[in-house]
Amino acid sequence: MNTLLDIHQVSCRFGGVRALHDVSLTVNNNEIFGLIGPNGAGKTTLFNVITGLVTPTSGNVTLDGCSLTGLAVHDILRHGLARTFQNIRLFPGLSVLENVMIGRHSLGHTGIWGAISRNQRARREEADLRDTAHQLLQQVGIHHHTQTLARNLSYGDQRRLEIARALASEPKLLALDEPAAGMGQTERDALRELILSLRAQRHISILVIEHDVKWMMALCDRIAVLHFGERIALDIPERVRQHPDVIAAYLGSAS
Amino acid sequence: MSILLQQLVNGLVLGSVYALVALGYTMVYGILGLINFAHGDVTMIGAMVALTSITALSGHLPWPAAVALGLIAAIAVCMVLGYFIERLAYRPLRHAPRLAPLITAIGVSIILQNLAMLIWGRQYLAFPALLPQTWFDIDGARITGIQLAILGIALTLMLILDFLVRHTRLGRAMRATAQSPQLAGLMGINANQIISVTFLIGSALAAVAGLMVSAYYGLAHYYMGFLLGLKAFSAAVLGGIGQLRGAILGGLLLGVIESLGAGYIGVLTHGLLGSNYQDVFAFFVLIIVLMVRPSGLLGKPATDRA
Repeated sequence: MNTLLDIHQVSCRFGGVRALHDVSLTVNNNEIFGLIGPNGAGKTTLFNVITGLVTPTSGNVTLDGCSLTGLAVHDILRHGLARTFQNIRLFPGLSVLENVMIGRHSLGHTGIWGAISRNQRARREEADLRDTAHQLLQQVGIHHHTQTLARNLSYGDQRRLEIARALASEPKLLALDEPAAGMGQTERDALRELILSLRAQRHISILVIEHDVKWMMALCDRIAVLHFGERIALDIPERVRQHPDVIAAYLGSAS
Repeated sequence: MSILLQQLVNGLVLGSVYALVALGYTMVYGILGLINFAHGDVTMIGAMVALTSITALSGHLPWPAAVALGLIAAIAVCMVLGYFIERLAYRPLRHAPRLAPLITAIGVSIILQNLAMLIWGRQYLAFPALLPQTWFDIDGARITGIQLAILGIALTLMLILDFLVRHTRLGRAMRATAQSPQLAGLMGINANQIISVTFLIGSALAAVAGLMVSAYYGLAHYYMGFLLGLKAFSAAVLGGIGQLRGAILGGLLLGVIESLGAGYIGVLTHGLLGSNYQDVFAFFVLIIVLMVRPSGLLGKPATDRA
């Protein structure tokens, strides 16, 4: 197994609060990796460290051998890590297609002169971009809505659009922040199928944070459990489920 | 009939100039939420530079070459000016309360007016009489060659801009930045660059409008940017500020209303009010429209701007 994402001894303090303490984990190529833990366990902080919104107090994060620590968010995107947001963040007044095209902005080259002169290169880039965006929308299952404004999509479709937009930047690692939040059981099952099919079709790694433990157990190859900022377990779902620390910290108290 | 047609043509010509300037206001407002009150004065600088260069070149070059070079000079000066106004006056205040950049904009406007007064003086400058006086008579109305050129060039520029914003990578990035600068930043869009480009485009359009207005009236003056800017700003508000097509519609409408008002107000009031009330007419219509539709003709309710 070759490692894609390597989180090495990451600690993070906010004033006197120890949000993360010496957390290490790795995500392999083509792996679906889950991150669970009770509220306040540090999942979101770890996610923010990986995606560049928070700089860790110590430790570092590398993606495919490149250090991500201290990089700006859009540079991290360029290195091959795209994310979705817990509270959906789309461009509400742009069409579904345009939202996906914006996701691929950083891969484009056309500048202002290309845009005005409409030279051959600019036109071809635009046409390719359009095709790719259509394909992505097809892959996530909302291709019948391309011209709809993003704000008019249903909640579930907005989540799918966010995933399509993240995929548009050709990431090696797709990070999903509570993708099933606010969904009904049918939608959750459909979303899980989608994530599994994306991994199969695009050969990417996917990192997921989610509260729904059952749902995660059926989705992920491996799961890490955080509790009070520390990693208390890291294993395949069956073994995580039986891990005494996990039961004590999380599953036991939850049920 | 011929008066109506004549006033409609005059109004459309005037309105297309308003629209070009209004586009500058609306683009900047769309992205920064800032009313760039110095924009009218950028137009004035464009008019001054164009007029001065055309006057200087008119003896040495045939008139089309002189006008073209004057236009290029005006565009270049205005773009540089617009770029530095944003960099020096507005960017440092990007995260300040909204009132601060607004006051700064008024300050920049005053600085530009006084600068122009120092360079070009207080007197009205006359546009050199070198454009050929051609016209066409249609049903008793007279359309001059200058009017046709203004309409044609202005409409072409508006079409290009509309296409640029709706269908290109740059335009998409501009619209995304207008909706959410932070999120656009996360997508790898450099908001500062987009803002600079917005000022560059707006200033170039202002330069063209400046040349047009000084050629049309045959005059330029250091204070001309004030009323022109105010009207163009009103046009942008009338159409729905932040909306490109709104600025175009608002500009054309304001021009037509103003000219119809000037043409008919004497008849309507039995000579009590003359055509010198044309400015009042335009603002009167603006007030009425805003009472009925506060977000402007094409504007969306404020809640839509997330």
